[in-house]
Amino acid sequence: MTWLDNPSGLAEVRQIALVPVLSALIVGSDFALAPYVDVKLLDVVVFSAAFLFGFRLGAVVAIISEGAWSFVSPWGFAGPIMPFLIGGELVFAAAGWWASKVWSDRSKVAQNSIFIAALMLICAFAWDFETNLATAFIASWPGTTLPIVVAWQISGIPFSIIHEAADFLLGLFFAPAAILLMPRLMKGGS
Amino acid sequence: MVTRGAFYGITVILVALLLLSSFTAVYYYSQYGQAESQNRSYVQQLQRLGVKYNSDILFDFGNGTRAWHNDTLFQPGTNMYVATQIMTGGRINDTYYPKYSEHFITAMYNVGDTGNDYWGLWIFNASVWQMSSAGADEVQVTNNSVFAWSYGLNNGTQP
Repeated sequence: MTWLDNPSGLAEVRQIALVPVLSALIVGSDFALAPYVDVKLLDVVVFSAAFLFGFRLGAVVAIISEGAWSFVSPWGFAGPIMPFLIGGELVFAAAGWWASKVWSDRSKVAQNSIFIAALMLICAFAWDFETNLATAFIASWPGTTLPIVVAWQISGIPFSIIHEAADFLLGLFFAPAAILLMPRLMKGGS
Repeated sequence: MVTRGAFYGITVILVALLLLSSFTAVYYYSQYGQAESQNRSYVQQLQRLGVKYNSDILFDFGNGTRAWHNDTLFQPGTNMYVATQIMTGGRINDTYYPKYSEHFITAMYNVGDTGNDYWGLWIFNASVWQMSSAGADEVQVTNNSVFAWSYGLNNGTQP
């Protein structure tokens, strides 16, 4: 039995095909939004993908797109921070999967958008905290001390606020739209 | 009856608000500390240069007696408690509250300690007298500043 005569197999193939499509969308939009360093579609797309198709697909999209961006970004190779950037992105995939269990009724996704937005904000906070922590260790190792870590966390706050505000707004408007539209597009616009 | 989804949603919103407010507080505190340290170093530089601040201070005894001390010179960094000690020659009764790092002035020039009337600190700002929002220890004397100590009921009497 192949995917040609197995509808569930065909759905899986469609989902696999979605990975490069979403990754290309993310990296392309990353370039388009390059002047706005802390505003990216990556987080919300990973979240929406995990919401619709599960943690595994969201995580794969996160790893491929963040991995690619770490090499091709206009600021050059991300270096040793790269695993932490990808690791932080997996938080969005986990949150998207969890949100799909809690707010499973897709017809009410617009009503639940404020919850999704708040969850995106928390994920952005976790991402910022984790990457600032990693940066502090990478920049000061082996002489890392608590004051150095605190200084890195505080110096990152202005950027974090923009990131969290952007993710909140994208969670409020973009995520519900993506969650409603993506399955329709996959069915050929029906 | 709150549904499971709404319960989780409200929890998520509350956690987000907690993070936002904590973040803002930490940032504000760090900015405040930075500004305070910059200000301290600026004051030290001014002191080394021998700069003096010029200030006018009024004592209003609430019985029609008013004493102006104009063009008084103070070192940068002097707060109003120290300035008042200098102006009155130490004729102040006060209680120090270490918890607030503040002196509560109960009497000046032997006027006070009655229980009903108090000395209140006023600042002349934008052509009007405004009651100080902080205690004398927290108020810095700046150049060309104008202050008043006013004695009256519940320290609310405008000079």
